[in-house]
Amino acid sequence: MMFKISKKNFQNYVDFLIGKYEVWGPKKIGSDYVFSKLNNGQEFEDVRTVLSPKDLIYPPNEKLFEDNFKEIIVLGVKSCDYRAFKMLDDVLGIDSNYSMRRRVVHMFNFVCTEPCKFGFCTTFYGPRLEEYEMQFTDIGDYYLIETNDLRFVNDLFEKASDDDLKIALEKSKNVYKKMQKLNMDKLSEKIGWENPLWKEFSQRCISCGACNFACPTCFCFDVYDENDRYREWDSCILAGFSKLAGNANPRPTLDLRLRQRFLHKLKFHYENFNYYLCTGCGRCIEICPVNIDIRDVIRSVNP
Amino acid sequence: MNPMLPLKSKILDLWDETDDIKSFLIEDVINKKPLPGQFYELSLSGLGEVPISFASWEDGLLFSIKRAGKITEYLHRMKKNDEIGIRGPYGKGFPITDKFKVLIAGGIGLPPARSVIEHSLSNSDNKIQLLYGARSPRDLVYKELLNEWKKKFDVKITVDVADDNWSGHVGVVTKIFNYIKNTDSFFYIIGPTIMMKFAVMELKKMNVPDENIFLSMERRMKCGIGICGHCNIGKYYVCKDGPVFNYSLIKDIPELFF
Ligand SMILES: Cc1cc2nc3c(=O)[nH]c(=O)nc-3n(C[C@H](O)[C@H](O)[C@H](O)COP(=O)(O)OP(=O)(O)OC[C@H]3O[C@@H](n4cnc5c(N)ncnc54)[C@H](O)[C@@H]3O)c2cc1C
Ligand code: SF4
Ligand code: SF4
Ligand code: FES
Repeated sequence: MMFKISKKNFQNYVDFLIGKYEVWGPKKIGSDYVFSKLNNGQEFEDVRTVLSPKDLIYPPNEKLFEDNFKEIIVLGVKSCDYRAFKMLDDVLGIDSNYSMRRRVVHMFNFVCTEPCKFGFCTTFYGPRLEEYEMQFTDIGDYYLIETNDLRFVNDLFEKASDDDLKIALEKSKNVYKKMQKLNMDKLSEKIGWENPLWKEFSQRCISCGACNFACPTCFCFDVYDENDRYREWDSCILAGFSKLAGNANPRPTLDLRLRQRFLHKLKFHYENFNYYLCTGCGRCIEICPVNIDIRDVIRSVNP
Repeated sequence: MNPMLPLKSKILDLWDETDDIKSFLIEDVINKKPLPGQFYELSLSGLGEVPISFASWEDGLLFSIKRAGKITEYLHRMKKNDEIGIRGPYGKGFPITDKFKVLIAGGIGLPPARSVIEHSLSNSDNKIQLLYGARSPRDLVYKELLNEWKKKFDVKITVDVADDNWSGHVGVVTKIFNYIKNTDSFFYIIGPTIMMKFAVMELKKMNVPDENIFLSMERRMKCGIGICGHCNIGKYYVCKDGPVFNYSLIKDIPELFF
């Protein structure tokens, strides 16, 4: 179903949602936009955040075996983040903490109409989603709304026309025009275990793990006990990640750990699931203090 | 229910095997017959969890655990009737086959080998040979059982370092590979990575096909169910796709032995 809503009414729509649910969206905190709880419609801004909303469904640190999850709506989600949840579903879907939150956290996609600085989503799926709960596209004075879920439809919605859809499609095509598309041809087969980039990267990587933490598709976690049992996002870049009792380690050096990160995304996960564990969101590139760039890995295989 | 939630069980009995290996008989509250080579996550509430292969399944689940770090140290301090959490059985075990099976076990690799042996014997299949290597005579586990097994099938034992009472073989486990009678067997290798590496090299020299070699792999584990990402060897997760792998599947992975 297709609707549209004027920008002016959109704020009222957000207020309506806030009346019924807890609503989150990008909010300016200091100099960065961060997903935060919104108090009113005016606070909402459709901007791409530095960090994805992964933590709203899969918190960086959580007590295991809990079951009180509250229903929330997240506005301003980008397709690269939304697609990442579809990927996480294939791995974390059997986990009840994750799957229960996945059911009650509603992510509304806001289609990008301009490329972001480091993103390369058009290499994979681009800014529009085929599967969504609610999809909003800025078409000037209005947002076009696509949805099959009547729960979130409101009186403020107007009928949209095919012309409105045309404008929306045109707007998202703008991203395709301006963004460089990388060549993924048989990459998972062609990418080798040996690549001079691993050593090169290892000479400047400071093992901060920020790339993993910013990535919407990274799913690895550690489990630890502190009275109760907790899980915490883990990072394959850290030496302890694969360490065995007695200090034996299959990946004792940083180049081997960087290799694991890139091969997991570009080879192993593809071999298991038939898609790359990357949505081209560019967050790891943006956040890395020493300019380690996954696009360079892809280009080293397919120039 | 969360798949990582352990069930409450209890230690029915426990005893020393060696200076640093203890056996634990645990009530099987899961009540599912495990397949030889599978493992469980044993859990101490508030302390942590460790993956351990089961050794035997009869009056309960038998585990033999070597003191290696924090949780195994705590386990060694437990007493009879203490509570313990358990979940599993996990992973893919050794193939169940009519073929002749040569078990090559090093150190704490004997407990999972025992699960294969008991499974075979209980099906009146004694087409087994056991080649077992330990650090020293003091480090041999299941000493009485080894003598019983010797009556039923060929058992060869070697130690790295002998003592005054030892009259058997001395040296790494590959030193007793000359006793292998039938190279058309299935070879099940369980032990430290370095031992597995040399065992495979020797078997290859004997022209054993890759497809007949099975390795029980070890990697750092957290979830045991293929979601925490810790235990991968290439595209495989040891907890879910292993711990037992056919060598032909993993032989080209550079991180296989380290
Ligand atoms: C499939 C499988 C079967 C095993 N079977 C046995 C067995 O029958 N008997 C036995 O004594 N040992 C066995 N081990 C090894 C045993 O799991 C480790 O010795 C144990 O996890 C060490 O934990 P720790 O807390 O004492 O050491 P620490 O170094 O303090 O380890 C902390 C945590 O890291 C992880 N970890 C560390 N080392 C290992 C490791 N080698 N393998 C997997 N996870 C690890 C565990 O989650 C552990 O809780 C097995 C390992 C695997 C993977
Ligand atoms: S690997 Fe980098 S570009 Fe790909 S999804 Fe993760 S953060 Fe985004
Ligand atoms: S963000 Fe950059 S420096 Fe930090 S761990 Fe990742 S690759 Fe290394
Ligand atoms: S132990 Fe978590 S994926 Fe294997």
